[in-house]
Formats: sequence, structure tokens, C-alpha cells
Amino acid sequence: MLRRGLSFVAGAALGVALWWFFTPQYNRLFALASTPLVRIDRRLSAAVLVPQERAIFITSSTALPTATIPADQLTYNVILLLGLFAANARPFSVRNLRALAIAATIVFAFHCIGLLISIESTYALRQGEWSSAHYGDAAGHFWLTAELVYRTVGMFGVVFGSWWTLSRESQL
Amino acid sequence: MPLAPRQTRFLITFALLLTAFYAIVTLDAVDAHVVVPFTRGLTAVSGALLNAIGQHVNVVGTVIAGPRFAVDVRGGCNGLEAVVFVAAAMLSFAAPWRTRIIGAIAAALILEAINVIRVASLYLIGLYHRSLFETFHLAIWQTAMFAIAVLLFVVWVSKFAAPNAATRT
Repeated sequence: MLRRGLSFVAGAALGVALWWFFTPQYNRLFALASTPLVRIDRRLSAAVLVPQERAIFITSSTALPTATIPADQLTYNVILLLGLFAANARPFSVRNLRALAIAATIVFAFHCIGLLISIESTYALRQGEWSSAHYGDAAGHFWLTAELVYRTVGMFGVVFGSWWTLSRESQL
Repeated sequence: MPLAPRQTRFLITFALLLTAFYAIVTLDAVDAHVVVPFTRGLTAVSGALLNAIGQHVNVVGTVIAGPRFAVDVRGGCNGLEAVVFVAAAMLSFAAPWRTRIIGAIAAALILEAINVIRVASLYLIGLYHRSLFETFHLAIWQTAMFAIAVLLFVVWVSKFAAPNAATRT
């Protein structure tokens, strides 16, 4: 148990370092991959996602208002992800590394969904008259709730679910 | 890597319970009559801990205020998210109901005890290392709370739930 605890701390420390130092680089990929998802909503079809250090800035050549999303607040669940996989038995085995790669892909997909939710919530509620003109009360409530659920429990639930399913722990 | 039916069932139940429990916690009536009074109590205990270690703080509602720094304990800092998380995980696991309920209650108590330390430590970090406050507030402690919740779940499964599930089947 002590070994696993220490391994968790080491993995989490690596996660903190990655999250802290590589968020600007990650945000470039993150913005690129999320753009098609965001543009599915016709209200946001002209949105251009521009990574800016730890945030993603949304701009457009149309009347769409600009917005800044603190993207690093959507991605720090990588700390838990790396900690959990580091705590597994034989963390450097091919099996564990392959499981980590699959879990990281799942988490990345949910980062994109989390960014979509944050953008929708921002445009539904925090853009004054533009929000009122383009979103109803029910839509605003839905996106706010989705944002709260993702940012408080959902982002960690995805990590836990991926780890539990893909690692030997679920054999218990 | 296909999922076993048991794993699929666990994941679906976990996701549904997590969402349902969190939705209940955020209802206005629950917030006003349960969450806010609970958070005030948590704040009072955290303030008492800080005073016990020589800090001179006052507690008003959900605010811990000292001469140079103050923290307001709000939703997200009261530990309920981690409690909801571990309760959803334990109640989703195929173990006897008594084991699930006792496990969830014990985990909730442990997490809230740790959350008192979290609030007190965040006050101290804000007081003495203000530049680190947001990182610890947002990323480090939040991750630590969920990591502890996962740890409690894993220990519970290996020590209590899995043996009971095995003897039951």
C-alpha cells in the first residue's frame, strides 16, 4: 500500500508538472480538435478558437461576441489520471501503458466536450443581450447545469471510470 | 478490450448515481436547508482548528477571516462533491447493501474530516504564500480530495466489498 501511495504521489506530481508547464501547448491541440464540435451549433458556427497561454479566446468575423474560457480549469484531471495509473501494479508494463493511452484518449475527448459545454454556458448566460436573443431560459439552465456537473464531479468521474475499467483494479 | 457486463453495469450505474446525487445537492431547497448549514458548520470547525494552532481568526457564516486574509467556503470547497462521488461508486458496486451503506457513510465522514484540513490549509497558504493559493485551491486540493475518494473506494472494495460479493455469489 505504501509503494502504491508513493507511486500515486509521483504520478500526480508528474501530472501537476505536465498540466502546469504544457497547458499552452496542449491548448493548441485542444482548440483545434474542439473547433468542429463547437461549430455544430449554428449560433457558434463562425467561432474561431484561439489558444492564449492557459486560456482559449473565442473570436469571430461575425457579430458573435468574444469570450475567454479558462481552459486549464477543464483539464487538470490529468493529475488524477497519471496518479491512478502510476499507482497500478507494474506501472511501466506494456499493458498498463496501453491502458493509460486509451484512458488519456477518452479523457481528451471529454476535455473537448467539457470545452464545448463551457463555451455554450458562457454564450448562453454571460453575453448580455446576445445571450438573451439566442438562448432561452431552459437552454441557459441546461448549459449551466452541465458546466457545473462537468467541472465539479464529471471530469473526475471520467478519469475514475476510465482507470477502473481499463486497469486490473476492476478484476476485484 | 471489451467490457464485462458487470463492468458496464457498474459504469452506467455510477454515472447515473453521480449525476442524480449531484443534481439533488444543487437543488435550491437542499442547498438552503442542508448544504449551506452544513458548510457553516464545516467553516466553524475549520476556524476552530486554525485558532487551536495559534491563528487568530473569526468565523462569520461561511467566512474565515484573519487580520490579513480571509476565505469564503462555498460550494465546491465543502467536500460534498467528493462525498457524492464516493457514495455513487460504492452504491454502484455489486456488494451487499449493508456493506455499501456503511462504506459510503464511513467514507463521507473521512472525507469531511480531511476537508476541514483542506480549508484550514488553504487559509494558511493564502496567508503565507498567496501566489500558490489558486493552484492549491483549484487543482491540488480538488484532485487530492477525489484521489482520496478513489483510495477509499479501492480499499473498501478490496477489504470489504469484494470478499462479501464473492461469498454471496
